Amino acid sequence: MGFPYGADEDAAYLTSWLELHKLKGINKLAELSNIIDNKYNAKIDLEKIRFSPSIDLQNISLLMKGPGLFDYFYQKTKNNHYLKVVLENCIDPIFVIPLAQRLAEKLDFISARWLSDKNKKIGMKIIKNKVEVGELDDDVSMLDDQVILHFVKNNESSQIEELILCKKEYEINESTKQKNLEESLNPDVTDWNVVSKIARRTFVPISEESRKKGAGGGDDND
Amino acid sequence: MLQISPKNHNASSSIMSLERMGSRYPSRLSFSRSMLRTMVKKKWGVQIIKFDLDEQGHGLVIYEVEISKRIYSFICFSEYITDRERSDRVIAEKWDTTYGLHIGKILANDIDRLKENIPLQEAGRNSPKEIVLCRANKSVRLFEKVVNCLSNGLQPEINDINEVGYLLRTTAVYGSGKYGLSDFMRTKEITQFNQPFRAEMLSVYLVREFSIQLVEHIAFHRNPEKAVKLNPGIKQHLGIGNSTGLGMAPFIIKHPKLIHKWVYQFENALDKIKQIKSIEIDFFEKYILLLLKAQTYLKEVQTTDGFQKEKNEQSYKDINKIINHCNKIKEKSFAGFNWTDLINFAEINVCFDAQEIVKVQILELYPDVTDPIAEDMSMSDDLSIDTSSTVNDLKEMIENDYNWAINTDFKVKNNTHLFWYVSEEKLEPRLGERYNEHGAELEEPLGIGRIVYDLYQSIKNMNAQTFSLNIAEFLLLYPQHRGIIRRIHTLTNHKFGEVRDNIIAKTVMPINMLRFKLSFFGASRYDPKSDRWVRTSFFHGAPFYEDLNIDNVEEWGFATMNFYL
Repeated sequence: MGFPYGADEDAAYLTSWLELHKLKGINKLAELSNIIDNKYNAKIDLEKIRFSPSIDLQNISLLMKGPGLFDYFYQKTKNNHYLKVVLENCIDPIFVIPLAQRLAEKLDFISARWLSDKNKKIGMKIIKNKVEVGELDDDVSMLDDQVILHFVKNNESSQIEELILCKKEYEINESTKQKNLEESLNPDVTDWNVVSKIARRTFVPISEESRKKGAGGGDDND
Repeated sequence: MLQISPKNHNASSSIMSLERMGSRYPSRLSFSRSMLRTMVKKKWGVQIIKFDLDEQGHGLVIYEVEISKRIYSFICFSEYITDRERSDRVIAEKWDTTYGLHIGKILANDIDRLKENIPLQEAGRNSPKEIVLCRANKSVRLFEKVVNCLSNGLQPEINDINEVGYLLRTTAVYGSGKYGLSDFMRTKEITQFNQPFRAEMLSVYLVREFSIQLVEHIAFHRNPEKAVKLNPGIKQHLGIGNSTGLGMAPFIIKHPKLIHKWVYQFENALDKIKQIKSIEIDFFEKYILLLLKAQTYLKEVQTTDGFQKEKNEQSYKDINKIINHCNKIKEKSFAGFNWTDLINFAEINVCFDAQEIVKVQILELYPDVTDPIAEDMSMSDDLSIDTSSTVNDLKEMIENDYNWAINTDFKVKNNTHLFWYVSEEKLEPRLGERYNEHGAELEEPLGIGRIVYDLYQSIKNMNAQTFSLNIAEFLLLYPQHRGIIRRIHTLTNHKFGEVRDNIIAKTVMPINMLRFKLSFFGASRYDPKSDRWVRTSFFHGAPFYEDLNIDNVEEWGFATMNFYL
């Protein structure tokens, strides 16, 4: 799909993490495939965002821009103990969950909020490796395709956002991870076929030369 | 902040050079050894609970392994295949025997499911109840010969056994999440198989048990009146064969922290032993006997590969030098002797293979040091970026840790001659010639040296302002470097994680990486079939389950033909 070394591993991690936790990672990847395929663009204008409270993702997937941005957010939080930032024009806020979860061990608190496709307010908070996701029922106003993020380090408890999930839909921790590992992943076949078709493009086609030389000669039996 | 490692990298650069990696031998830390040791110490029970083979040896056998009151089942399928269908290659689609290691007892409906899937191997689908999937083919050279002998009431010649070394030869052993199997993240939490490849090693050991059951069963049905069982001494010289190809090489590049851990623990054990001040003379004499045993092994081990033959012959001669040196020490200057002296002598005077034998035989003497370390060989594979370090720090890390890469001229075609790829054909990992074959645009990012070189070329002349950026900022501007920077940062503190050679050079010998990994698995009897794949044996000389006990569980390293007499 044109993702360079490292970015491909990140995208695979984000997708499989969602799939493992029953958040339809493969479905999301299949859905996005048309708009991200061979259009890798993770570059961010540092000067534009350095002092700005918001970042315009320009409808480019977090699969591409997310990993670098979250490292940047982590570093800023480490320096300032607290960071609030708004992502604008974010087309796939679901990837915020694994992106944030990867920082869970290093930060004290992370929260995110966004509007779902059905215009419901969705909230996510992470404290001590426990991820909770669900519906919010509060007065914080938000725009479509916005994600509001809070990061806290070094127990700045006064900065921790009050995020009350009125309907908790997911709780993810070590025991839910083990429970999910116990069950086979079962992505939708249509989505799987879309992703498999893309994966097949990375394999070198069959040829006699490849078959004979590629894995070494010699007698393959004894 | 990351610590910038010191400029002196002699240890890691020599240990992780390909030539050195390709000279390693199994040790007490190897996974087959630690699995068998654990089997004895923890009193694992093994029994056959179903034996349903027809007269030709086709059908089903189930072993149950009881570990701390938990049951694991090892299911074996044996079927007829034609000689043309039998191949060591990953691209094979049928095998003489196929196997699965299952968590718990196997119930009737499990058997149907496993029967449908396990013989298909990669084309089947397993459940998280299964931990290992593997297959093995009969040795064309030996299996039928042994059946013939036994069915006529005769024992096979030990020299014939030694020439091949196994009745069955595994051609793939899969675990950790492959083809629907339980992921290691789960396996290590909910089973007793909490060390890398422990479940796989148990499976291979049970394949060896099965190989004997199978050959004796067929021999008996061919001639019930005259058939005999294998003589224990001959039987024990049989290992289980293994064919290993290029698939092991990408593993080494893709799991650098784990590789670091294995090598670090080996060095750690040696370092602890080097600190021992007082060495008893009888210990030293025992060591000389271990060297003699290794020497006999080198004389007996069979290979058709010219290069390996030369290596074995050189090692044989060099072990002689070491033995002579040890005898001199014993006679003249034993007081004050320590193992560092001997290791230093070896490093100056003998080939890499012999140096490794010197080390692994020292480890044999100190179970109190090595065996706890052998139970600590696992490590998370997460790589991470130190977001606060600067671009200037990165440049220094590269100059310190990757001088072998940045000093290679990648504009020279011979230094980029090869490319690693995955074939469409059963996803077999292969090596292509960049300037002669198609497919280089689909190259796997395994040529770390060149990737580091490219990064270094792009940053070395950047301006002072860029050098002062932290890496998080830098990667927003240059996201294409994310993977390699994450690797460099992580491995600064895991110095044995990187192969310190250019693995896309024309002169590269991929087999060196294979042998490195196989040594940690515990494979011996290296018999390369090309520069890209090798036949070996596992558990060669190890006691079978019915004979296994605390006194013999550690005695089988470098097993020789007279070892069982």
